[in-house]
Amino acid sequence: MISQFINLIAIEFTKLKRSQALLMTLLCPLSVVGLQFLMVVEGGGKFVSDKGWDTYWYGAMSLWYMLMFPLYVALITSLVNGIEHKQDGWRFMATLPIKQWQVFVVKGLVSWLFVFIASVLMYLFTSASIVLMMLIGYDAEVSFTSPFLLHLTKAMVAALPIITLGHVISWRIKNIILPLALGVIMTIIASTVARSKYWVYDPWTYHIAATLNPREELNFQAIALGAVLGLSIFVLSAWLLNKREVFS
Amino acid sequence: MSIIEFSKVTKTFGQHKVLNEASFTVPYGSVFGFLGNNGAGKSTTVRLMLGLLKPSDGEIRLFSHPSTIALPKCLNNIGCIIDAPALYQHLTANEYLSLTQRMKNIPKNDIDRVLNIVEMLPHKNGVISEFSLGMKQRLAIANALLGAPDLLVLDEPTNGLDPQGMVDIRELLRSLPKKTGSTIFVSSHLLSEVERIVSHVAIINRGEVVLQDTLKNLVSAEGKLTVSCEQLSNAKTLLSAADFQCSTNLSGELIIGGISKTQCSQIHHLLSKHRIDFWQSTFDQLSLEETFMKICNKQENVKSFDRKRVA
Repeated sequence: MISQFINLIAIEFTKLKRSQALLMTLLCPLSVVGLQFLMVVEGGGKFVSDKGWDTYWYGAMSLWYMLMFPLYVALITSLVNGIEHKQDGWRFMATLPIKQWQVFVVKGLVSWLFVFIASVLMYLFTSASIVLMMLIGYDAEVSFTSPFLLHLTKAMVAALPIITLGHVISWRIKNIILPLALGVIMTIIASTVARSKYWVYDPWTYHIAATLNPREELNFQAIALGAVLGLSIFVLSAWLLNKREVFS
Repeated sequence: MSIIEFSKVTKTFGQHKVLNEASFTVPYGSVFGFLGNNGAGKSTTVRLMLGLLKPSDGEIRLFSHPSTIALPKCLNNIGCIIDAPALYQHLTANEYLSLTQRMKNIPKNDIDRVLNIVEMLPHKNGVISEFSLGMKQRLAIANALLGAPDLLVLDEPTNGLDPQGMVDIRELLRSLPKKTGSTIFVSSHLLSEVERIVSHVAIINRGEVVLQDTLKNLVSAEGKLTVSCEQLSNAKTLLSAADFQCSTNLSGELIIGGISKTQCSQIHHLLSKHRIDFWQSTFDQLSLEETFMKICNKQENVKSFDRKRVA
């Protein structure tokens, strides 16, 4: 069973060869780090506060989690499923010895993996930009207090609902624009709601609460909500979709 | 022994009945033509067969097992194309075939074997978007052939192809039974194309399977007799009186339609008995297309008669 899933994931990655998915996975974090880098250089290095590079790190992560991360989720889920809509791939998949729920689970996993890779790249690019800034003469106290792996794990669990919702919507809707537009709208709404007491009602704020909020109890509340809601939607959708007929 | 068996299968979408108690069997080793006009229910039948749709009523058996049990496991042993082939245009032929090869756990060298059968081996590393329609169709057939399945299901395999493409695909399909030994199920509305490759035929009209037989039985059952004689009006009156459907063509020949070979000798005997000389008599079997039209028209007439009677 596990080897079959690994095989199916490899097949999904083959399908995405020469598609925009890989390019976007590289460009999205790079653009955020590039923007942060330019902002600091433009400001003559005045970013450096008492906490040194941590301020820079936090700025880059804020840009990533508040803006680019939800947009990237919408984009990648649209691309992973859009490839089937565009090429009549659903029919192709339905005629192979694989069940619909397996395709759904594998595509969901692939979307999650892409988000994970993009987040890892974000951390790597941010670290690289710090090294680059040090090389070109910007100096600060080196104090990376942000735990890299914990940060990443929190985000990836808390973001489960939005990855699943993006996956379900782009699975059902042929038009790639609609899930993308929804992602943009929800990102804008989340940037405001994240600061209010109503953030628990908006899954697009969970990854922000889990990573950027300094209050630890809110971090864990966001992670728990993300895990429960994300997995519930995922399992329910897989079960419902498996009963559907393939028309396209 | 049948590889596919439909027993009174009905499929409805809302109020619309697309398939109405369709029954037919596909014998092992046959090249089975499933013929019908556009919208007759061919693609729905194929989708039901492959489990993409679920029947509203009736039973489908594949490889002698109910399809609910046989699918999706037996999809390993079925190669298919439904409508226009679903190809990932940005992949190379090799990458595309590797998807099915890995999904079905088939040895990698089978890709070369199937590309060779469809004569696409030189284009193994070509990107699909740069292929012609005919090449794409060949690639889709190669994909269906991966793993040497016992059953090939081809839904409208020549759709959208230019005349040369049609000839190429027809030749390829004709050679497949020898090369692969598979049972082939071909659905199409292009009767003249199918007539050249199939051994068995079923005709579907407005969701009902109206006939199933071997091609040989179907096309040799009826024909028309063209008789060249001098006393044309006498001959016509005589044969009409004997309940034969007679007409004349522009060349002044007598055409007697809807008759069997044995009825030919009856006609010859009748003409000789009444001293009507004829110098040429030719019996032409009905083509599959003519048979198809006749069956469909007959069914339409029966239905309209029934409707009038109910009214």
